[in-house]
Amino acid sequence: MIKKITMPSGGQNTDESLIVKWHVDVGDKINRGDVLFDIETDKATLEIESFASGYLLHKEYKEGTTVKEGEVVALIGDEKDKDSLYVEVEPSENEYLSESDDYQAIMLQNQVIVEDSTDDKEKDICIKASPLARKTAQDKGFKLEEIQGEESNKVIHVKDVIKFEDEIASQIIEESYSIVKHSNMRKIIASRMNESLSTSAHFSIFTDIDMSRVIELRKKLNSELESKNIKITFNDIIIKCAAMALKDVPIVNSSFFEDHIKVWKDVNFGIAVAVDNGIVVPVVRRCQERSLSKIAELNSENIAEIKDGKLNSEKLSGGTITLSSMGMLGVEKFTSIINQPESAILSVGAIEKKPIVVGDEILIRPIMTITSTFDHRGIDGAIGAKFTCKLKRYLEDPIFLLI
Amino acid sequence: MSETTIVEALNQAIAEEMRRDESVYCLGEDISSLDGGYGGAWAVTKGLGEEFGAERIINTPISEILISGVAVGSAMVGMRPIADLQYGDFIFCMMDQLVNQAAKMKYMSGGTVEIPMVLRAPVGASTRGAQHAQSLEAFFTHVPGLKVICPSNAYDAKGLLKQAIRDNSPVICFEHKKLYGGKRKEEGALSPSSVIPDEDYVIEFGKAAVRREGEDITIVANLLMLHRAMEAAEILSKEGISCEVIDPRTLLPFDFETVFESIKKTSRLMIVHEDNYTNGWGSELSAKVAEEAIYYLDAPIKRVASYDVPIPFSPVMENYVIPNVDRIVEGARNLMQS
Repeated sequence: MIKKITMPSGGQNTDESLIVKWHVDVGDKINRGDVLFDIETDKATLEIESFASGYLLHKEYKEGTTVKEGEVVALIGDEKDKDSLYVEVEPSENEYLSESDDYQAIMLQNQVIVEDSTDDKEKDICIKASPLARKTAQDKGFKLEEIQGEESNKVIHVKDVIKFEDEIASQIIEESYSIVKHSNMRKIIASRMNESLSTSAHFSIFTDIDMSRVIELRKKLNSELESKNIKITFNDIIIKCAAMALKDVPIVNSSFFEDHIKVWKDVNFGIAVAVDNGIVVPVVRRCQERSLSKIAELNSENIAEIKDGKLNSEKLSGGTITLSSMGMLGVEKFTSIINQPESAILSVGAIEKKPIVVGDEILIRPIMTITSTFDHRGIDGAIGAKFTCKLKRYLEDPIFLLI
Repeated sequence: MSETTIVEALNQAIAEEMRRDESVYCLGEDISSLDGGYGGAWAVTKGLGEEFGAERIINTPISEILISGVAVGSAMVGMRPIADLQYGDFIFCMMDQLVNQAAKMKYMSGGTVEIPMVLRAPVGASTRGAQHAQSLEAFFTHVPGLKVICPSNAYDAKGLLKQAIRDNSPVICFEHKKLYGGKRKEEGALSPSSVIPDEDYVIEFGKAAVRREGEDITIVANLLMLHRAMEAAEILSKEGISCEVIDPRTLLPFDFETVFESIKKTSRLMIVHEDNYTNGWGSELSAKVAEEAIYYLDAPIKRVASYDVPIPFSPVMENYVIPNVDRIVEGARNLMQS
């Protein structure tokens, strides 16, 4: 039987992927699980494993070709097909449909493992097991294949099933952990965070900010804007003030390259948002020219789209600086890892009432700590300090927003 | 209560039933000592001629077809004959009367004519050659309308034979030559005597007896093989293999439930019979287990039976063909590995 290997989905943002490298040649024996080829999406490079076993009969595309999701990339057949077909095979959609099932390749990173039940059943029937063992395994939800392990000629008896069950139980007791396979997102987060720390030189500046006036301002604005159904958050105000500070210190809004620094003209603010098992960073573009209410509107729109799982992938790219807030989680202050190729990230803590000294008086004020982390390759300490001072000034006296 | 051999138990069963019911009578070759006989080839009817007279203990000519014909005919008109065979092998002369007449008459007459007869047939190899050695059970378990019993000890022999005499169907009682006991001395013969109660009792057909309880293998065996299986089980227990030994006692009807219950526990089944391997009664038991209880099994069914050849006259060869204790032990060991 000839099995078709189709291009898997490249993730949520794309329906096509680039074939980077073939790992097998026509005529090669393929086992289930062998890596057939690598693909590259806009997010990562992934290994594509074969779901089918047999011989590679045909490759439809060369390395360097971009292929749409669902297109047939390769054909795998058994020994008989190998002898008769693979030399002159001309894959077309219909020719093989009648005698082949559509086998989707497995993309490990996405955990899109398409189990083929008939295939497993056939395998199970070939395994020698006593009726009692077979029934016991079925009742307990074990596959005979798992119980058999490496010894393929051994007859499985009920004691083997019980032993297998005990082994699983003892493994759980001994290891006391469970395995969480990496999602695609987890892999991307891991590699990007690691890359950021290993290529850039982080340093952080902590700034305590008296938020009294921002709180007052926000209250007034929100009561005015209530009728328009717009709610301004502290993040929105921080973004607006940071955009103003970046006008004063534009080099912070930049990307570092080997022989130059790109200073971006637009302030495209990414906001880190926690989602199930990961983070996404939607971007609000051109913050330097937008009003506070527009920024608020765009931010709340993005968050709603994330909740509905409808966020357009375009909104996840093109950021020039990032804000990460854990204030609502009660975190006082923290540092973040720069979202490369950006040069700065702001970590926003909770607003807490604290005693501060003003003149010779001790006053109680709502204080927020913003940690600004910079890439020292392009931004020196004095520049960072200048940026944070500006940011502090704008936040403590938001009248500057009127300028 | 007294210690009794099978031959004595059978004798008591016949005598008691003849005293109880005037329609019961015996016929066979040399079964009465009144006119030259000696109580039958195996002395089962010894002394009965004296008590009941030549009218009720009838010596016949050497003609099995005659014996069966008289038995079936007299049963049709209300008598309860107990027909005696010197050797079970001669039963083939009686096949028409047994299979075509006795087994079918009740069905063909719409239940109005019953054949309450008993045929006692000694079976098993005892160095007397191919025509005096067969185990015949499977020929008759195949026939609807007959009942087949095979007592392996004196208690059962008495209880089952009494039940057979009172039963309104034709019953064939297979008795093993090496189990009769008493003074006879065939090589390897046993004397499975039992303590038998004084009061009247019968044993219901279709109730197997668990002779030994065990955990690892269920062995189902009848007649002489039951005793060899018990011996094998003792040896195996010293190797850590625990056998449950079941005596079916009656083959038609057969107590499958007791076997199913046992293999539910042991998950392994071995069947031992002196009847031929191919299409012996163990074949039917195997098939039934495969149909109705296969998920209890953790290993293939093992049958230990006589090889498919006429029983050789040479004692050495006979001993080779008939399952012995070693073969049962070896079969059980293999079964534990398979």
